[in-house]
Amino acid sequence: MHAGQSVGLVHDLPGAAEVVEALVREARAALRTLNERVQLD
Amino acid sequence: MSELRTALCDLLGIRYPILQSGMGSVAGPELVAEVSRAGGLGILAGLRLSKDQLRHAIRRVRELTDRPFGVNLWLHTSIRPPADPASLPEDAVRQVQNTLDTFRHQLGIPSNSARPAPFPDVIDEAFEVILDERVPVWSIGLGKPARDMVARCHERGTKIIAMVATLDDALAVAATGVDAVVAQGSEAGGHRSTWVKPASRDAAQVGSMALVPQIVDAVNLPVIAAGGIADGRGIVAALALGAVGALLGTRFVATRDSGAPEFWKKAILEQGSEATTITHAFTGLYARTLRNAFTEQYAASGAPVLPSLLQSTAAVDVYTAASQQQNRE
Repeated sequence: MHAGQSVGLVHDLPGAAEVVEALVREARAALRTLNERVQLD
Repeated sequence: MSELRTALCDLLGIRYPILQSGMGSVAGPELVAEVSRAGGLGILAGLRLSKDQLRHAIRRVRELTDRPFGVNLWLHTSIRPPADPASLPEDAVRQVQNTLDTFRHQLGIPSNSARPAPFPDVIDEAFEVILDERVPVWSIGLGKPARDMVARCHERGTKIIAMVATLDDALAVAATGVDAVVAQGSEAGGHRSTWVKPASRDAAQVGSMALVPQIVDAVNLPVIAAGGIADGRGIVAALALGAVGALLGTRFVATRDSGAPEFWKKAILEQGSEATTITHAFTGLYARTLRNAFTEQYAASGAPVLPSLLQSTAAVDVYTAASQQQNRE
């Protein structure tokens, strides 16, 4: 049973298209919050 | 519309820079088509399929979606041509089969002392199917293509991505003319993507955080990060390291569309990140798997491991019975 160390991040059994949609949503949110959390000036 | 666009999207003709690994027993036409349909790149598992099965699977993907997809095929030196079972020392075969017999006994199947069957010599004909079907993306695992293979793909409009686990291998595949490099960090599940078996289980094990930026700096090609990524934060981290996309395996094993048996999906949902180990007891090549009775008892037995993929063909009855019995140990 192959599995990577990301196994601890996987807790649900959605459809694969839902996974892609969630990844895009999460990545966009992560990019936005990154800008909010880090002060550059 | 919500976009997440990088240069990889233009290269591969996809909407999102998200790739699903072409994992054996997992990545059939349904999973691949769902990922591609959603805007990522689904990659079909091509290893262990006959040329007719591969052609059928490719055509099935095309029935399900008109989006780009990939086919994964190994080029490991031990299967092209496959290692000869007759070359195995008698003593090694006996020790391996004796150890496997303890698992056969637990599963209630007959013991076996025979030499393993050869791994079928199918890689070159599978490559011809990829060309013939004009597959949009050829994903190379565990291998470095010859320059003429790259040229023949490009003549037909097939893009090539090659997965590597070390900086040296990244430079070597980049020199062949492939279109993108997949940097496989040691967090990744499955086989270490090398074309020669590393000297030890510690070799070719560099974490994504260190590996990805080194490969980005070294090759003048788009880099896709793999290993340790299962959510959107991981994708953003990969982009921060200089990658233009991310390839995910484990996340897609645990989906309704994956071909993995239910006990494997269940194990992924239940287990944490400390549950994996690197073993070569399953196939003869180092791979990250969930630790179980097989990985632990095989290592403890002191038995040798046969060359790839004869270790796998020697134990095929054990794996088949365990799978049929939904036995995850």
